[in-house]
Amino acid sequence: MHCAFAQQSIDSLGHYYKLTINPKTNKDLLRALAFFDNHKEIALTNKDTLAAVYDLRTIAIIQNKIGALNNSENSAIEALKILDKYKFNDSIKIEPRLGLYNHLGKVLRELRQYDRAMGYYNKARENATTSKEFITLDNNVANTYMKLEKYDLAINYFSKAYNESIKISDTLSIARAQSNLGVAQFEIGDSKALYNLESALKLRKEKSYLDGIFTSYLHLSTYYKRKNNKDKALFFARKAKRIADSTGSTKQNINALSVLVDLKIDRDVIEYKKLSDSLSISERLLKNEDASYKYDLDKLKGLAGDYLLKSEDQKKQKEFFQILIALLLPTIVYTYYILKSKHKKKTLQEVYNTESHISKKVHDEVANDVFQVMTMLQGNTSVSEKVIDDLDHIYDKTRNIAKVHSVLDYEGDFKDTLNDLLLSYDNEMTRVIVKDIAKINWEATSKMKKQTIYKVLQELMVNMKKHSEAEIVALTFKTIRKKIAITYSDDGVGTNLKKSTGLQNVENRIKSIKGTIIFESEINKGFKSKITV
Amino acid sequence: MFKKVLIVDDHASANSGVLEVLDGLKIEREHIYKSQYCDDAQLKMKRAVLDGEPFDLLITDLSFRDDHRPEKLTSGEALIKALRVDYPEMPIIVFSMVDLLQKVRMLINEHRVNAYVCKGREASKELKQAIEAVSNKQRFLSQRVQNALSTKNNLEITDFDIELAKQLSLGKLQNQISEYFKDNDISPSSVSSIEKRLNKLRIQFKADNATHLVAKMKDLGLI
Repeated sequence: MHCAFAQQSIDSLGHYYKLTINPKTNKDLLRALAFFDNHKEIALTNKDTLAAVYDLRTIAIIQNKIGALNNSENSAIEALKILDKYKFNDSIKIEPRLGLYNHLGKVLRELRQYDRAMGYYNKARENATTSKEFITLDNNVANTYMKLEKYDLAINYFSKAYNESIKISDTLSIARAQSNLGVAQFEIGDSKALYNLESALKLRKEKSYLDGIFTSYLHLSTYYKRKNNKDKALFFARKAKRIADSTGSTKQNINALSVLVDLKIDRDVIEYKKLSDSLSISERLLKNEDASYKYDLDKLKGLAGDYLLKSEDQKKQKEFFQILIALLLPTIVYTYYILKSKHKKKTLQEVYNTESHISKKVHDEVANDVFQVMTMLQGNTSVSEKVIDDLDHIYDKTRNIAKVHSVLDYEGDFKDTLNDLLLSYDNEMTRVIVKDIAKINWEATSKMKKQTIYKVLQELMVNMKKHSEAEIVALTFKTIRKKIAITYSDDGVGTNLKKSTGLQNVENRIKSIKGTIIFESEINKGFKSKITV
Repeated sequence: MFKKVLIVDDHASANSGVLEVLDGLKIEREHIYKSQYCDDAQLKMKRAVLDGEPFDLLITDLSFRDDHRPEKLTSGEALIKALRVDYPEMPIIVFSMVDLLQKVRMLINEHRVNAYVCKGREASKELKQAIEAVSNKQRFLSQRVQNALSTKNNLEITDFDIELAKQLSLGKLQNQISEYFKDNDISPSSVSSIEKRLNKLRIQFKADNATHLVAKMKDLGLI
């Protein structure tokens, strides 16, 4: 059992780490963030310090990538604090410390707090042991000096990185330092700049290192632009763009296009604008909607646990329950309606497909989460039955939403499928009576019609179960002039026919296949409906 | 009682409920294995057989979230189908949110699942009952899906029933109706079969007597 969990967990760890390092979309990053966040909590509960530090480090990287710089800083600092408290084995702390300090340097550089960035790089240096680590730090320090426009110092550090790289004959590392060196040299008008830029490109090409080649092209394009050689600048910018196209990286595309935009104004500009717009929109959406939606449920689970510890008197439980509903219902409604409204205008079949997709999500994720909370509370004796009953109610509602929109996978006879549906509402309380369902030629009925009939009857039955208190429900089927006529009637409490969303749905569904539906009801006189499709 | 159990469910905390039930049945934790993937479950099953310590109970969910792992078996149904080939007698309990009767019937009839428990308010209680029943070689179905195996004819009424009610509504007695049916070639027309049918209808419509039955059917618009 432990073994199984560990295996699954390591697999996922690797997967999400890959997503972090090489995300295809921002969604990947958010998914990874959620995963590591969760994993960190588990690690902390298990007092697995090193795992927690690893998770926090990864979280910091992700937060940096999605631009949440302050959060990234906090995560890294939290990791350092945990590491400090860790009593054993100093040698094991060195590598994570180095990584965290280096990360903090990078984040603060982006936050334009260069002094603090330098401070962290120095601390990182205290923990560095290998040449590679020193090279990385030298590059980072030099880049900070570039930002500060202290080019001489930058050149010093780039040179150090360059020489060190030659010592360990790491070609890519040599190329990186050399290219950076070229950029810095150009700033002070050193004639060796072009040579360094070009030989860095050559090295990178030898290793077919696309990301590096891309950077080299951009450096060269900038170089020629500032030398007022527009043709050559364009030439390299275009080459960079081609690489960006081939890798499909949005970030590279943006960088390449922004260089192109500086050079000229045409359709590339439009593409750049579009891309950057869509990126910022999707970032905003991801940050505000998906993340909050996702965390609502997490929050909920956490809340259930926390609150139970404290809640002893009924009053608090009531309060807890209210919070629970307040958090839960919007989430369900959000998932369902927002997603649904997006697809309103599509054709009916597409709507059904989308609905079934959404409903699977509601079913598998939301309903299951509710079930989990319920299971959790059931084990706790201090929770009143009422709370669990109410939660059960929510569970039922959620499942109904899912059910009414789920895909209809009838493999066999449609008559049986429909019969099963009706049968599932037949019990001691409510008798369901069906007449002549077998007399309809279902085989000759279109799939769309069958789907609609199924869903409409389902909606009526759900409605019946919820509101009617009926003892008897009768359904009759008939064929009238090539159309199927279905009557529904029950002996329940009836309604004043203010249409609920359920009934509105029924009406819309029938209308969309050009059928007719009539409702007939009065308080205490049961509910009747006649459908012709 | 079972000794070695495999639980297949991709919701970690849904598992905790199952574990509690198993605790209550005195099944030792060290003999309870969990799997979040169907492929993995199948492997565990095979491994256990190879090791000479096979599982004697499988509890599985039906739907599994898509994940980054490419799976061959993507649903509990596929898992059950695959396992039935190698282990036809393995006791299997389905523990799922799905309550479609057709699905339940199919799993029971075609894949010979031993019990079907719906996740819900009564889940823990029913799961316990299910495990006990299965260990006594009995079948168990959750209340919610009880009807999966009942005969469907219970629901249906026919033109004959309607005609019968119509005649009743005209104030006729059973023997008069029998006469009428004979005259109009409607069968069955014997008094005894009419009485039988009337009783059935009264139960179906929860009616106290014939008058009540007619009133109810009228209200429902059937006659």
